[in-house]
Amino acid sequence: MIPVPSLKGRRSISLAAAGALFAGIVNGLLGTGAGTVFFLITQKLYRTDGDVGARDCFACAMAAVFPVSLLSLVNYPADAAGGDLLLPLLIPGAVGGLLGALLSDRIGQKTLKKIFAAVTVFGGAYMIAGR
Amino acid sequence: MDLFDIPAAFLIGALTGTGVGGGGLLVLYLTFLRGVGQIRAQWLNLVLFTAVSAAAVPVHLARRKIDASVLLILVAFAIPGTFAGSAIRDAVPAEAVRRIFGSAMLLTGAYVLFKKDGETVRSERGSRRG
Repeated sequence: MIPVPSLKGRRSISLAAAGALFAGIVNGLLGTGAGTVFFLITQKLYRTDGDVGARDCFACAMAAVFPVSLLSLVNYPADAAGGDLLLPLLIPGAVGGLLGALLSDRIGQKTLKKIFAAVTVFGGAYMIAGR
Repeated sequence: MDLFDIPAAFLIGALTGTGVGGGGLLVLYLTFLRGVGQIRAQWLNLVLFTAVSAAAVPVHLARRKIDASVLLILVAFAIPGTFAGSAIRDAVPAEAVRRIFGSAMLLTGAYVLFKKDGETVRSERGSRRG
Protein backbone atom coordinates (compact mmCIF):
# COMPACT_ATOMS: atom_id res chain seq x y z
CA MET A 1 0.00 0.00 0.00
CA ILE A 2 1.26 3.47 -0.88
CA PRO A 3 1.78 5.69 2.18
CA VAL A 4 -0.03 9.02 1.98
CA PRO A 5 0.81 12.36 3.60
CA SER A 6 -1.63 13.77 6.14
CA LEU A 7 -3.33 17.13 6.28
CA LYS A 8 -1.77 19.22 9.07
CA GLY A 9 -2.80 22.47 10.68
CA ARG A 10 -5.86 24.67 10.86
CA ARG A 11 -4.48 26.96 8.15
CA SER A 12 -4.19 24.08 5.69
CA ILE A 13 -7.73 22.94 6.41
CA SER A 14 -9.07 26.51 5.99
CA LEU A 15 -7.22 26.87 2.68
CA ALA A 16 -8.59 23.56 1.41
CA ALA A 17 -12.14 24.43 2.53
CA ALA A 18 -12.19 27.95 1.05
CA GLY A 19 -10.56 26.78 -2.17
CA ALA A 20 -12.99 23.88 -2.50
CA LEU A 21 -15.98 26.19 -2.02
CA PHE A 22 -14.62 28.42 -4.80
CA ALA A 23 -14.01 25.37 -7.02
CA GLY A 24 -17.62 24.31 -6.51
CA ILE A 25 -18.92 27.75 -7.48
CA VAL A 26 -16.77 27.78 -10.63
CA ASN A 27 -17.89 24.27 -11.59
CA GLY A 28 -21.55 25.06 -10.97
CA LEU A 29 -21.35 28.25 -13.00
CA LEU A 30 -19.13 27.14 -15.90
CA GLY A 31 -19.43 23.35 -15.91
CA THR A 32 -15.64 23.05 -15.63
CA GLY A 33 -12.70 24.46 -13.69
CA ALA A 34 -12.98 22.58 -10.39
CA GLY A 35 -10.09 20.29 -11.37
CA THR A 36 -7.74 23.23 -11.96
CA VAL A 37 -8.64 24.82 -8.61
CA PHE A 38 -8.35 21.47 -6.75
CA PHE A 39 -4.93 20.91 -8.35
CA LEU A 40 -3.70 24.35 -7.25
CA ILE A 41 -5.00 23.73 -3.69
CA THR A 42 -3.25 20.37 -3.35
CA GLN A 43 -0.02 21.79 -4.77
CA LYS A 44 -0.18 24.61 -2.24
CA LEU A 45 -0.94 22.20 0.65
CA TYR A 46 2.04 19.99 -0.14
CA ARG A 47 4.54 22.63 -1.23
CA THR A 48 6.97 21.51 1.46
CA ASP A 49 6.46 17.78 1.02
CA GLY A 50 8.92 16.33 -1.49
CA ASP A 51 7.21 12.94 -1.51
CA VAL A 52 4.12 14.41 -3.13
CA GLY A 53 4.63 15.10 -6.82
CA ALA A 54 2.58 17.12 -9.27
CA ARG A 55 1.05 13.89 -10.60
CA ASP A 56 -0.13 12.92 -7.10
CA CYS A 57 -1.75 16.35 -6.77
CA PHE A 58 -3.43 15.87 -10.14
CA ALA A 59 -4.71 12.41 -9.11
CA CYS A 60 -6.23 13.87 -5.93
CA ALA A 61 -7.84 16.69 -7.94
CA MET A 62 -9.24 14.21 -10.46
CA ALA A 63 -10.69 12.00 -7.71
CA ALA A 64 -12.38 15.04 -6.12
CA VAL A 65 -13.74 16.29 -9.44
CA PHE A 66 -15.77 13.16 -10.15
CA PRO A 67 -18.46 13.55 -7.41
CA VAL A 68 -18.50 17.35 -7.82
CA SER A 69 -19.09 17.03 -11.59
CA LEU A 70 -21.86 14.49 -11.02
CA LEU A 71 -23.60 16.92 -8.69
CA SER A 72 -23.12 19.85 -11.10
CA LEU A 73 -24.79 17.76 -13.82
CA VAL A 74 -27.92 17.31 -11.72
CA ASN A 75 -28.23 21.08 -11.34
CA TYR A 76 -28.38 21.79 -15.10
CA PRO A 77 -31.65 22.92 -16.67
CA ALA A 78 -33.56 20.12 -18.39
CA ASP A 79 -33.49 21.83 -21.81
CA ALA A 80 -29.67 21.75 -21.85
CA ALA A 81 -29.55 17.97 -21.38
CA GLY A 82 -29.69 15.10 -23.86
CA GLY A 83 -29.47 15.16 -27.64
CA ASP A 84 -27.78 13.27 -30.46
CA LEU A 85 -24.33 14.68 -29.67
CA LEU A 86 -24.03 12.91 -26.35
CA LEU A 87 -22.98 9.39 -27.37
CA PRO A 88 -20.49 10.39 -30.12
CA LEU A 89 -18.69 12.50 -27.49
CA LEU A 90 -19.10 10.34 -24.40
CA ILE A 91 -17.64 7.00 -25.53
CA PRO A 92 -14.52 8.28 -27.35
CA GLY A 93 -13.98 10.80 -24.54
CA ALA A 94 -14.02 8.07 -21.88
CA VAL A 95 -11.73 5.81 -23.96
CA GLY A 96 -9.35 8.75 -24.47
CA GLY A 97 -9.41 9.53 -20.74
CA LEU A 98 -8.56 5.95 -19.79
CA LEU A 99 -5.76 5.80 -22.37
CA GLY A 100 -4.43 9.17 -21.21
CA ALA A 101 -4.34 8.01 -17.58
CA LEU A 102 -2.55 4.76 -18.52
CA LEU A 103 0.03 6.63 -20.61
CA SER A 104 0.44 9.61 -18.29
CA ASP A 105 3.82 8.41 -16.96
CA ARG A 106 5.26 7.99 -20.46
CA ILE A 107 4.18 11.22 -22.06
CA GLY A 108 6.31 14.35 -21.89
CA GLN A 109 3.73 16.92 -20.88
CA LYS A 110 5.67 20.18 -21.22
CA THR A 111 5.07 20.83 -24.93
CA LEU A 112 1.50 19.52 -24.80
CA LYS A 113 0.73 21.89 -21.92
CA LYS A 114 2.07 24.89 -23.84
CA ILE A 115 -0.03 23.99 -26.91
CA PHE A 116 -3.10 23.48 -24.71
CA ALA A 117 -2.47 26.83 -22.99
CA ALA A 118 -2.05 28.68 -26.30
CA VAL A 119 -5.34 27.24 -27.63
CA THR A 120 -7.03 28.12 -24.34
CA VAL A 121 -5.81 31.74 -24.42
CA PHE A 122 -6.95 32.13 -28.03
CA GLY A 123 -10.33 30.54 -27.31
CA GLY A 124 -10.85 32.61 -24.17
CA ALA A 125 -10.07 35.87 -25.98
CA TYR A 126 -12.43 34.89 -28.82
CA MET A 127 -15.24 34.11 -26.36
CA ILE A 128 -14.82 37.44 -24.58
CA ALA A 129 -14.75 39.38 -27.85
CA GLY A 130 -17.87 37.59 -29.09
CA ARG A 131 -18.62 36.29 -32.57
CA MET B 1 -23.24 13.95 -35.81
CA ASP B 2 -20.14 15.47 -37.39
CA LEU B 3 -17.12 13.50 -38.61
CA PHE B 4 -14.83 15.41 -36.22
CA ASP B 5 -16.90 14.79 -33.07
CA ILE B 6 -15.31 11.41 -32.28
CA PRO B 7 -11.61 12.37 -32.73
CA ALA B 8 -12.20 15.70 -30.97
CA ALA B 9 -13.79 13.98 -27.94
CA PHE B 10 -11.05 11.29 -27.93
CA LEU B 11 -8.23 13.87 -28.00
CA ILE B 12 -9.81 16.08 -25.34
CA GLY B 13 -10.45 13.00 -23.16
CA ALA B 14 -6.84 11.86 -23.59
CA LEU B 15 -5.48 15.33 -22.72
CA THR B 16 -7.63 15.40 -19.60
CA GLY B 17 -6.63 11.87 -18.60
CA THR B 18 -2.91 12.63 -18.81
CA GLY B 19 -3.26 15.74 -16.65
CA VAL B 20 -2.30 18.20 -19.37
CA GLY B 21 -5.74 19.83 -19.22
CA GLY B 22 -8.72 20.06 -21.49
CA GLY B 23 -11.65 21.02 -19.27
CA GLY B 24 -12.90 23.86 -21.44
CA LEU B 25 -11.71 22.70 -24.86
CA LEU B 26 -14.92 20.82 -25.66
CA VAL B 27 -16.96 23.96 -25.00
CA LEU B 28 -14.72 25.82 -27.45
CA TYR B 29 -15.14 23.06 -30.06
CA LEU B 30 -18.91 22.87 -29.63
CA THR B 31 -19.60 26.61 -29.61
CA PHE B 32 -17.16 27.63 -32.37
CA LEU B 33 -17.29 24.69 -34.77
CA ARG B 34 -20.65 23.04 -34.05
CA GLY B 35 -22.81 26.07 -33.27
CA VAL B 36 -24.05 24.65 -29.95
CA GLY B 37 -25.35 27.15 -27.36
CA GLN B 38 -23.16 28.04 -24.36
CA ILE B 39 -25.18 26.34 -21.59
CA ARG B 40 -25.79 23.19 -23.63
CA ALA B 41 -22.07 23.05 -24.56
CA GLN B 42 -21.19 23.34 -20.86
CA TRP B 43 -23.56 20.48 -20.05
CA LEU B 44 -22.02 18.26 -22.75
CA ASN B 45 -18.53 19.23 -21.52
CA LEU B 46 -19.52 18.29 -17.99
CA VAL B 47 -20.91 14.90 -19.10
CA LEU B 48 -17.70 14.18 -21.01
CA PHE B 49 -15.51 15.28 -18.11
CA THR B 50 -17.48 13.13 -15.65
CA ALA B 51 -17.05 10.11 -17.95
CA VAL B 52 -13.33 10.84 -18.40
CA SER B 53 -12.74 11.17 -14.66
CA ALA B 54 -14.74 7.98 -14.00
CA ALA B 55 -12.42 6.15 -16.43
CA ALA B 56 -9.18 7.75 -15.22
CA VAL B 57 -9.69 7.90 -11.44
CA PRO B 58 -9.27 4.13 -10.76
CA VAL B 59 -5.93 4.19 -12.60
CA HIS B 60 -4.73 7.22 -10.62
CA LEU B 61 -5.99 5.78 -7.31
CA ALA B 62 -3.96 2.63 -7.90
CA ARG B 63 -0.76 4.46 -8.85
CA ARG B 64 -0.70 7.66 -6.79
CA LYS B 65 -0.61 8.88 -3.22
CA ILE B 66 -3.99 10.37 -2.42
CA ASP B 67 -4.73 11.83 1.01
CA ALA B 68 -8.25 10.76 2.00
CA SER B 69 -8.64 13.68 4.44
CA VAL B 70 -7.80 16.23 1.72
CA LEU B 71 -10.13 14.49 -0.71
CA LEU B 72 -12.96 14.54 1.83
CA ILE B 73 -12.55 18.26 2.59
CA LEU B 74 -12.37 19.18 -1.10
CA VAL B 75 -15.57 17.32 -1.95
CA ALA B 76 -17.49 18.36 1.19
CA PHE B 77 -16.87 22.09 0.68
CA ALA B 78 -17.23 22.04 -3.09
CA ILE B 79 -20.77 20.63 -2.90
CA PRO B 80 -22.46 23.80 -1.51
CA GLY B 81 -20.34 25.77 -3.99
CA THR B 82 -21.85 23.89 -6.95
CA PHE B 83 -25.35 24.88 -5.82
CA ALA B 84 -24.29 28.54 -5.52
CA GLY B 85 -22.58 28.44 -8.95
CA SER B 86 -25.63 26.83 -10.55
CA ALA B 87 -27.89 29.51 -9.06
CA ILE B 88 -25.64 32.26 -10.49
CA ARG B 89 -25.62 30.54 -13.91
CA ASP B 90 -29.42 30.38 -13.95
CA ALA B 91 -29.73 34.02 -12.89
CA VAL B 92 -27.46 35.63 -15.51
CA PRO B 93 -27.85 35.64 -19.33
CA ALA B 94 -26.03 32.95 -21.35
CA GLU B 95 -24.01 35.70 -23.08
CA ALA B 96 -22.62 36.80 -19.70
CA VAL B 97 -21.79 33.18 -18.81
CA ARG B 98 -19.93 32.91 -22.12
CA ARG B 99 -17.80 35.97 -21.33
CA ILE B 100 -17.07 34.73 -17.80
CA PHE B 101 -16.11 31.35 -19.31
CA GLY B 102 -13.83 33.12 -21.81
CA SER B 103 -12.18 35.16 -19.07
CA ALA B 104 -11.57 32.02 -16.98
CA MET B 105 -10.03 30.25 -20.00
CA LEU B 106 -7.82 33.25 -20.79
CA LEU B 107 -6.53 33.41 -17.21
CA THR B 108 -5.97 29.63 -16.98
CA GLY B 109 -4.17 29.53 -20.33
CA ALA B 110 -1.97 32.49 -19.45
CA TYR B 111 -1.12 30.90 -16.09
CA VAL B 112 -0.09 27.61 -17.72
CA LEU B 113 1.88 29.43 -20.43
CA PHE B 114 3.91 31.59 -18.06
CA LYS B 115 4.30 29.51 -14.88
CA LYS B 116 7.50 27.63 -14.17
CA ASP B 117 7.16 23.92 -14.78
CA GLY B 118 8.46 21.04 -12.64
CA GLU B 119 7.67 17.46 -11.77
CA THR B 120 7.50 17.84 -8.00
CA VAL B 121 6.81 20.83 -5.84
CA ARG B 122 10.06 20.38 -3.98
CA SER B 123 12.09 20.14 -7.18
CA GLU B 124 10.60 23.48 -8.26
CA ARG B 125 11.62 25.02 -4.96
CA GLY B 126 15.04 23.43 -5.14
CA SER B 127 15.68 24.77 -8.62
CA ARG B 128 14.70 28.27 -7.48
CA ARG B 129 17.23 28.07 -4.67
CA GLY B 130 19.85 26.94 -7.17
